[in-house]
Parts: sequence; structure tokens; C-alpha cells
Amino acid sequence: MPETPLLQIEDLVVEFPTRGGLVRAVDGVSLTLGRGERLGIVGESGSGKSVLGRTVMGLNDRARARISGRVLFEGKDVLGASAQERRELWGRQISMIFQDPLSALHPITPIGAQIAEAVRRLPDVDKAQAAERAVELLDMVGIPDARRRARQRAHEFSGGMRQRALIAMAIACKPKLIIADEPTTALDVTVQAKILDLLDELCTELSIGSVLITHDMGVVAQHTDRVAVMYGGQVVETAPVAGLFAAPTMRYTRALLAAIPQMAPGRRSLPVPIGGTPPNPLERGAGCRFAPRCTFAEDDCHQAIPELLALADATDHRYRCWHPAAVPAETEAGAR
Amino acid sequence: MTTELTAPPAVPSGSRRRGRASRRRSWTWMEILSATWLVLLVFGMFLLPLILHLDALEFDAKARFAGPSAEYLLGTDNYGRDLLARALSGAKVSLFIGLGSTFLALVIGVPIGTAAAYFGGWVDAVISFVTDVILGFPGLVLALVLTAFLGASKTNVMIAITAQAIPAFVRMARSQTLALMNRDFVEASKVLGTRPHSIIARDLFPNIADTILAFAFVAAGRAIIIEGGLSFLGMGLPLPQPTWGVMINEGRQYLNTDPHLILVPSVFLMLSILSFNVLADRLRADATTDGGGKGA
Amino acid sequence: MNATTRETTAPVDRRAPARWSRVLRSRGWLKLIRLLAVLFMISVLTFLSLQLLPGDPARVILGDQANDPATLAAMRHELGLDQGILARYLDWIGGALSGDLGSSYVTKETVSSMISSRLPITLELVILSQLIALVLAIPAGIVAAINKGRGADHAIGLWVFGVLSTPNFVIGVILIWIFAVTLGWLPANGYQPWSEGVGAHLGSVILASISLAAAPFALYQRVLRADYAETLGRDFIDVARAKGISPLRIVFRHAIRPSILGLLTVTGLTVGVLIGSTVVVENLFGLPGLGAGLVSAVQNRDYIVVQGMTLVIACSFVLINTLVDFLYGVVDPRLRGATAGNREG
Ligand SMILES: Nc1ncnc2c1ncn2[C@@H]1O[C@H](COP(=O)(O)OP(=O)(O)OP(=O)(O)O)[C@@H](O)[C@H]1O
Ligand SMILES: [Mg+2]
Repeated sequence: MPETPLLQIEDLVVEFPTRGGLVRAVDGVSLTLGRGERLGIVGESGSGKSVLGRTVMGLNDRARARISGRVLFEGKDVLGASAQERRELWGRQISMIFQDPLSALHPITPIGAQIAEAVRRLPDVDKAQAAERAVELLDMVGIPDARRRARQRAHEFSGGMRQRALIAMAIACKPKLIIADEPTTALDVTVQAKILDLLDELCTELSIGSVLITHDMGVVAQHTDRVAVMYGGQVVETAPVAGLFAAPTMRYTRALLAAIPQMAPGRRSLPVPIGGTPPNPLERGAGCRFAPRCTFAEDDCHQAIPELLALADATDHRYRCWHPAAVPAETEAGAR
Repeated sequence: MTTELTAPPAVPSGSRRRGRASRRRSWTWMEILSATWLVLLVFGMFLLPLILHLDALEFDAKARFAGPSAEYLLGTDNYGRDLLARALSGAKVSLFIGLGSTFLALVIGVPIGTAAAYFGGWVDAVISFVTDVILGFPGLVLALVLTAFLGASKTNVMIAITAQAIPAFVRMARSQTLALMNRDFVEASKVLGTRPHSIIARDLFPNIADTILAFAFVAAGRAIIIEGGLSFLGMGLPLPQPTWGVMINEGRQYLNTDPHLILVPSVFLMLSILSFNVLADRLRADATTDGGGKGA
Repeated sequence: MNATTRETTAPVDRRAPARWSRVLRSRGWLKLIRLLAVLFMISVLTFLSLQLLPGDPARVILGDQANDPATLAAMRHELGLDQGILARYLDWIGGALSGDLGSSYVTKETVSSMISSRLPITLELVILSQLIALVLAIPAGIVAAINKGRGADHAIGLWVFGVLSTPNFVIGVILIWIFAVTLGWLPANGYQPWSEGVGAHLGSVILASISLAAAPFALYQRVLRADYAETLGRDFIDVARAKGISPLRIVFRHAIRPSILGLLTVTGLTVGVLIGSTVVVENLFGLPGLGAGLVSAVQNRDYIVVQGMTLVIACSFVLINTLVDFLYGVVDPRLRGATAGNREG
């Protein structure tokens, strides 16, 4: 019997009642994450990545969101947990890093105090120790002159430093899982790489599992072990990173890859943008979610949603497509 | 720059209107009740006295402090005067002065505020300065002193209340216009060489109209409060004209035995102000979801 | 042209200055000059409106006796009406600056002694009503924001809306009816100085303070509810939750401070409005404050007193608003982070 995975998501559905109708933001997602493993979730804006992350965390307003399915953290149910039980998880077991570091930091409380507050969740830590530990953590995430910086407020930090401070806050209690929702979207490219490297480094060192949410295939390629591609609330393809890039099967995945400038060094292909607009969750047809924008769509694509199928004999590579980009051998030609 | 280019950009106002239509909410029951109350009040104050042969000033010595009856639907006061008749007569005063002074203040204040924002520089400096000076007097104090020395008459009360309301409209129009001038399509009009007055007429006014209208409803409520306060102090319209404030003031001495003398005008006053405020809130919500000027 | 590049709204302007030194160095002097100019214009307007409006003060004061030319001339001389307008203004404002605002025609009391005996009562009402409004509005605003869109929010909102739409004298009458007439707990009317005992004194001003507090309460609740709900929707609240901070600590520590700036602003601006409201409320409750003094002076056509009191009320109004403005400038460095965050987020 294998050990229980760190995180198991089973058939998760999240719906929001809105004025226009019921928005199904996450639609039957199942995923598994092992200890210390790095999972990437990619997809366009509105594909349900953030809602998925927040639901796994248990952050959704329960009065507003309708949730079904299961989320197990180390085998324990997160969704059914009481507020008290969830608070035990938060910070200590799972933490989260948000997209916009400025609005994620408290505007008035000094950065050091905010980190110390997280540290104090550990048992037997007094105020002075927590403050001291906050400085160490700031130092650890590469903020120079940490002692002085700890007394400053968010608006005195640069974007990259703010995100570093948030990472320090997230690892304060050495959690087992970090969910990072587009942690670098608000930062410029050079800073992005450094922050992601830092996150990788810390996760490896402290053996923290991570879920990295992003819309950037390039980030996925370098900073994750496994990838789930989301479209219209569904996982449309999931595979180990190497497998996904070697044999992108679902048409949407391929379109995403084609939209990256110069994925393969030396090849002078221009990025091909994906035509059409991301789907409106209130106007979904009966068929494949991607069908209305898919250049390869045929009649049957509009009839029913394809199942998540295993690719050939690789059980950890699954895709959802009626007319997949054929076998790996053809991939070369198909990518053109 | 060529003259053919003077046509205004068509996109902004068009797209804005579409946005408005699609976001229009249905009316809540509060809003429906408020509108209904105001409509009923207006019809009631003109028609009921004719239909029921009401007289606000007629004494009835046999029916002093009477409760509601078929003859006096809402009872009578200390002189046996019909409270319904008096309340409806007071409604004419309150609505006339409330709406009249608000309308005047709007017509005077908005162009001034818009000009201040549009021309900037010393025009703005002078207008802002004068506004600050007038705002130095609390509204009621200004109205009180003005009516006292102009002499209490319908016109003078209206002038006094208009005077205290103008600065608020000036400020409102000024900040709305300033906010709007930073938006692209007004810039575009300028770049295209459209003349000032046509920019104001075509781009600015339609765009700040919603917000100003919402504010006008608030101002009407305020004007009615001030008119009520003035007549409550005995400084409003001359007697024997009944007004809500006068009725409340006169009813005070009979509070322990006959609270309905105060109840009737108070309910009329509160419902009317409440209605204006409810409708103002609604208009303001519409104005902001339209993406018109934000904030006050 | 340059209008487009200036600040768009007054609040931005209000929070711009940073430290004492910078306030003084940059726009401080300009603001001071402007303030003096506003005060000067207020004095001119106060003076002119009472001097130039139709009606001869001497005739009004004398009533029937005005038919006697000699008496009328004597009165005009006494009032200084036989001098030029400029001379009269200079005379009046010179006196005002040295604390002499003339004396009442009715009571012969000096205006400055009337003001110094009445001002404390008005100030007490203003302060008490501010406290009452804040003490009630802060919990009401927070509870409504936390339950935004749910029953509790709607219930509080409806109540607040009702309060907002009720003139203070109607609220005063209702309070008198409940607490004085029906329950008999408190006096309906009249003032008890501190010397009559703390209980008696507070009992004589509490209903008036509540009537005054009603409208500001409603305003504060609405402002705080909106700002607080906005704060609750910000990422840093989610971050705090995700850190495992207790909900109570989030409500009282994390969310309050970033939401309080708007409330502080309106609290300051409301002081002036309250001074205006005391005119009616003091009259209703028979409290001998500045507002009641102004009304009886107006009713008695006591020009000199009206002039003096109006000047004092308007100037305190302006000075308080300026002080509030200035305090933001000083308090700002602490709060500015909050606003910057709120803006950019
Ligand atoms: N509280 C909510 N109420 C109603 N609809 C919501 C709510 N939260 C999210 N949605 C809807 O759910 C869908 C998925 O949103 P989500 O934020 O997860 O997208 P995303 O993949 O994170 O996009 P992005 O890359 O822009 O962050 C969207 O259509 C959004 O409108
Ligand atoms: Mg997102």
C-alpha cells in the first residue's frame, strides 16, 4: 500500500450563483500531488485556476460558493473541516502566495511584524523570538539589511522584495504545501526568474510540496515536475513536464505551446496566438470546451465532452480530446 | 490640423449607453414605495383638498384634538383644524421650496463648477475661493440669517435655501468635471480641435448628468430639512400658512396628551425625505455602475 | 489646459502634505494666506449682509418710536449708521479682533460675554454627540460590512437610512416623547449646569446630544461600512486568513486600521455641520448655547448680536475644518501607506 499522497483532489466542482446564472468555475477536477512534488497548473485567464487554488486552501466563502467533490490533505478532508480545524491547517500545513504582493501585504503593519505574526502560530514562540525569527526569514529569502527592512511597511518595498517577504511569511511555519497563485505575474521578467528560483530552492530544502499556478508555459517547463492544463474549468491534459512538452496531445495544449515565442532554440517560428476569446462560463455548449476555438474541431467535438484518456501506455499522461494531435512521431510535423 | 477632423469621436458615448442599458437593475420595493409616495403626495396635495373640500385654516371649536374620523381623516389640532388639510398644505410649501431651490441651485451651481474645472487657472481659483467662503457658514445658519433679514416670504425662504445649496453643486460639478477631463474621450475632443463650449455641451454635461441628478435628490431632501428647521424655529413662511415644521413646533406643547398633532407632520416629513434619499441612492448606484464619474 | 494634470478630487489634495516641515515649506504659507483671506471675506459678508439688506436697523429696533425723527437720528448715530460703510466695517472688525463685538440691544449684555457663556454648552453638545455617533457607528458599520448583502446588513442599512432621513428636531421630539413624557426619566427641557450635579447636568444635555448624533451616526456607519467591506475584500485579509490568524483578530486588528481614514475625514468635516445643527436642537431642548442665542437674537432683530455670533460660528467652522486638514498632514505618514495600498490595489 503506497503512502497517502500529500494532496488529493477528487471530482471537485465549484459553482457561484450570480445574477446571470450559475457560474461553474471548476468543473470536475481530479488531481494528486505527492510529498515535495511540484505541480504546475496552467491555463488562460478565467479558466478557474485561482478558484481551484482557493478551494483547495478552503478560503472560499462557504455561503457564496457551492462546492462538491473532495479535497484531501494527507488523507484528511479539507472541505468538510470545521473553521477551527481549517485554521489549524492554514499557515502550519498549507500556505498560499498571492499574485499581487502589494495588496497581499498589510498596508500599515510593518513587514517584520506581519511575518512574526505568522511565526507565532508555532507553539511556544514568544513575541521577541517571533520578531527575531522574522528577521532571519527575511534574510533567508534574500532581503539585504533585513533587520532594518523588517521595520518598514509594504509601500517602502520594491515589487520583488514584497514577493520575497510574502514567501518568507508562507514558509514561516515550514508548511508541507505551498499554493502559489501567479506569484510573479506582477513582477518584471528578471525578477520573476529569481523569485521562482528562490521558491524552488526553499521548497526543496524544506521539502515543501508546491502548486504553482501560472499562465506561462515557460515557467511551467522550468519550475514544476508535473503539469495540469486547465480550460473552461476542466483539466484538459495532465502529464509530467517532460512528457507534456514531448507529446502535447490535447489541441489546446498545443495551441498554448505554439503561442510561446521560440520554445525550441534555433527554430525561428513566430508565436501563433490562439484565436477567439476565452469561453464565457455562462455560455458553454455540450461538447468539448475548446471546440469553438479549435482549428481542428469537427462535428462530433460539439456533441459531447471527451473523457480524460490515458495517452498510449503512459498512465500518468492523460488528455481530453476527440481528435488529439496524433502519436508523438507526428508531433514534429504537426508543430511545423 | 484639418477642419474635417472636428467631428467628435463617436465611440465613448455610444459604448457607454450600451453599458448602461445592460446593467440596469430592476426596482426594489423600497424604491417603488418611495416613488409612489412622492407621486401620491403631489397628486394628493392638489386634488384631495378639492375632492374632500379640505380647509387648512378653518377652526372647529367642537372638534379640538379630535382623533381620526370620517370628517377629519387624520384628526384635528388644538384649534380643531384638519390635520390632513394642514399636512397637505405644508406639502405644497415643502415640495415647492425643496424642489424649487434645488433646481435653482443646480442651474446656477453646475455651470459655475464646470467652468471652474474646465478653465482652471484663476477662474477656478476665484470660484473655489468664493465657494469656500460661502461654505464657511453652516447651511441652516446662512438660511436663517438670510430669511430673517430678507423678510419671511415664500420667495425669500427659497432664495435663502438656494443660496446655501449652490456651493455644494459647484463643488460637485467641479470635481466631476475634473475627473472626467482626465478621461480619454474629452482629451480626444480637445486634440481634434473642438471648441470649449461644444466639448462641455456634448461630452461633459451628458456624462456628469447622472451623478448630478443623484445629488440633486439628496439636495432636495436637505432643502426640505432646512425649510422644516426654519419653520420649526418660527423663521419660515409667515403664519397662518401651515408647514410641517410649524405643525411640529405648535404640537410640542400638547405632546403629553395628544402626540398625533406631531405624529402627522413628522410622518409626512420623514417619508418625503426618505423617498428623496432612497431615489438618490438608486440614481447614484446607476451612475457609478455606468462607469460615469466615480466618487462624490 | 493644465486643468487635466491637476489632482482630480479634493480628498487627494487633503492627504498630500507629509510632515510639519514640508507642510510649512511648500504649500503651508499659501494655505495660511488663503485661510486668512477666507476669514476676511466671511467677516465682510457677515457685516455687509446685515448692513445692506433692506430695512433700516434703527427703525427695526425702535419699532413704533421710529416715527420720531430725533429719536431715529439718535439711534442711527448710536448704531454708527451715520458713518460711511467702510468706517463702520473697520470699527466693527477692529473691535472684533480685540474681543469687543459690541453689545446687545435687548439685554445690553456684551456680545463677547454672551458668547463666552454660551460657547461651552455648544461645544459640549458637539463633542458628546460626536462620541455617541462614533461609539454607535463603528460597531454598526463593522457588523454590516462583515455581513454585507445579508440580513443583518439590510436591517442595519434600513435603520440607518431612516435615521439619515429624519431631521434632528423630529428625532428630538420623539426622544422627548419617549424619555421625558412617557417614561419620565429625563427632563424635556432646560439646562442644568455642572454645579447642579453631574447626573442632573448630563441628564439635561443627553437627549439633545442624541438628536444631534443621529445624522452623523448614519453618515459614519455608511462610510465605515463601505470602506471596511472594501478592506475585507483585499488580498491581505485573505493572506491573514491563510496564515491562520483568528477571525476576531482579523476583524479588530487587520481590517480596522486601513478602513478608518475615510471615517476620520468625515468626522472632522461633520464638526462644522454639527455647529449648524445646534441652532435647532438647542432651541428645542431649551439649552442656552450659541445656536439658541443666535435664534433669539434673530427673532429680536438684535443685529449686533447676530453679526457677532454669525462671525464666531462661521470662523470656528472654517478654523475647525482647517485644523482637521492640517492634522491629516501630520498624521499622514502613518496612514499614507494605507491609502497608497488602497489606491494601487
Ligand atoms: N466569487 C465569484 N463569483 C462568481 N464568479 C466567480 C467568482 N470567482 C471566480 N468566478 C468566475 O470563475 C471563473 C474562473 O475564475 P478564476 O479567477 O479562477 O480564473 P483564473 O484562471 O485564475 O484567471 P486569471 O489568470 O485571470 O487569474 C471566472 O469566469 C470568474 O468570473
Ligand atoms: Mg487567477
